[in-house]
Amino acid sequence: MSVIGRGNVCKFCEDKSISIDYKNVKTIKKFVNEQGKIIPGRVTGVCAKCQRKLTKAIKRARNIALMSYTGDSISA
Amino acid sequence: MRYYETIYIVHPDFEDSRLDEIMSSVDKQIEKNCDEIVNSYVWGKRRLAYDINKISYGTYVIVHYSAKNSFMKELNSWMKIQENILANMTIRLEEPPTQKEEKKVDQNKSVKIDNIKNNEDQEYVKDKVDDDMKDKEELEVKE
Repeated sequence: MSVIGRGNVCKFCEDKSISIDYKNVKTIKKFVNEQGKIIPGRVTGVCAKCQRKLTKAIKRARNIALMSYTGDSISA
Repeated sequence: MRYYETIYIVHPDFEDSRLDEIMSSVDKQIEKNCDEIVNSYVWGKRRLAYDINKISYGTYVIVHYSAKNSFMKELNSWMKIQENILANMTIRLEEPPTQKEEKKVDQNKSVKIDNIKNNEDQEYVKDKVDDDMKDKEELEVKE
């Protein structure tokens, strides 16, 4: 996954046009692992402020069936 | 008054006019207690990440509006009763929503529909003429 790597700058702070929204599933999907778990910010390089928004967005997306709770490989 | 966004999933079998019926019923329910409805549009038909009531597809509809906090519980409990709404979620918006422009799409759609209607009419006329001719022939044969 391209988002993982040490020394990464926060992707959302770098590009302000990316909205952290639960409807923006394509972007959010990159920040969960195969099991559907949220990857910690220290791994992806996302800053604390953006990570809080991201976590909220992912949980909302799960709630309305846009994202899987358990990861695509398990549920499919 | 705060701005809210409600997203709900309609059963995939409901399309066009039947979907509009459900949408209008939801809008009516919201209108009872809200200031204004900013947006109400179909987001699209999607595959659900997990099955809900053994159904794996759904039509997502989004509504933006401003209302009182106390209305949310009422709306949620009403939504749960509806058979054709699989799931719903309401979130509070930090900023007031912008109005979505759908006029262009609507115009194209209406033009297409008009074209189809015209074609149908022409075909119908043709069929009718053919039928009339047949009837006449039959009459002649009988005579």
